[in-house]
Amino acid sequence: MLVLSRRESQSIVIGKDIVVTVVSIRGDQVRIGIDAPRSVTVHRKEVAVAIEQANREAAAAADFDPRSLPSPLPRPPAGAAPSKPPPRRPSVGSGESGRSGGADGPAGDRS
Amino acid sequence: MLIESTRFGSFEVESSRTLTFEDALLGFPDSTTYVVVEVEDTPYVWLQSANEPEVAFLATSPFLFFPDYDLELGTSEQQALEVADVSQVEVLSLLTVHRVVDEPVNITANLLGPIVVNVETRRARQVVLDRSGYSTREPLVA
Repeated sequence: MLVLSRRESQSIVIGKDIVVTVVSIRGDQVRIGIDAPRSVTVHRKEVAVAIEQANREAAAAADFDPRSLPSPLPRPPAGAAPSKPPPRRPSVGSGESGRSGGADGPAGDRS
Repeated sequence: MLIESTRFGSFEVESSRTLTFEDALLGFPDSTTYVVVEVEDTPYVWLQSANEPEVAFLATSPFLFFPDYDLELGTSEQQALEVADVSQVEVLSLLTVHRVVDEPVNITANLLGPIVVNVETRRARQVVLDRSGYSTREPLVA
């Protein structure tokens, strides 16, 4: 591993296209800015590790028969309380929401 | 194209049923093309790798099980997928089957890292919803 010391607002260049900048330092936290082409993915390492681990676990199910699995919950009637809490999410302004899968099922042509 | 699969054997699919991942799924760098195989009469599909016969993922549309699933695509993700509008994408969540001796099978969905598909170009990415609070193991409740 290459180890460099930087102060606030100083940068590091990686390859031709990636620039890492120390935006600010407050106590034990460093805010790091990354300029990279859109083709380069950037993630907090622990998140990338969790995703990779989850992908490996998911691939281990390749011999499973999904016909024994539950069908989706029936939707509660309008106005009824949900039967389970929705997944946790921060209360920020709503951005785009994903498209509902609907009765057609997920990606894949039906021809 | 001809697909070799340890699960399904050999089968033909139309190229229009393939998904191309410019960035392969983390952990599976050798698989960049997948085909979607529907499981009849169920909401589930298999993402079968066209490159590695033994690699297949069970998946479903997360909105069927999590109606409030909040998926926001950041600008860089939108650009990488070449989408401007939510009508251009479909979403799949990879499922993990947890098999514990003497217990019923437990299925969880990776809501932190959904597969987002540009339905027009058939290009897909695994998007990481970094700040969402979702986990990689959200239980599918019957």
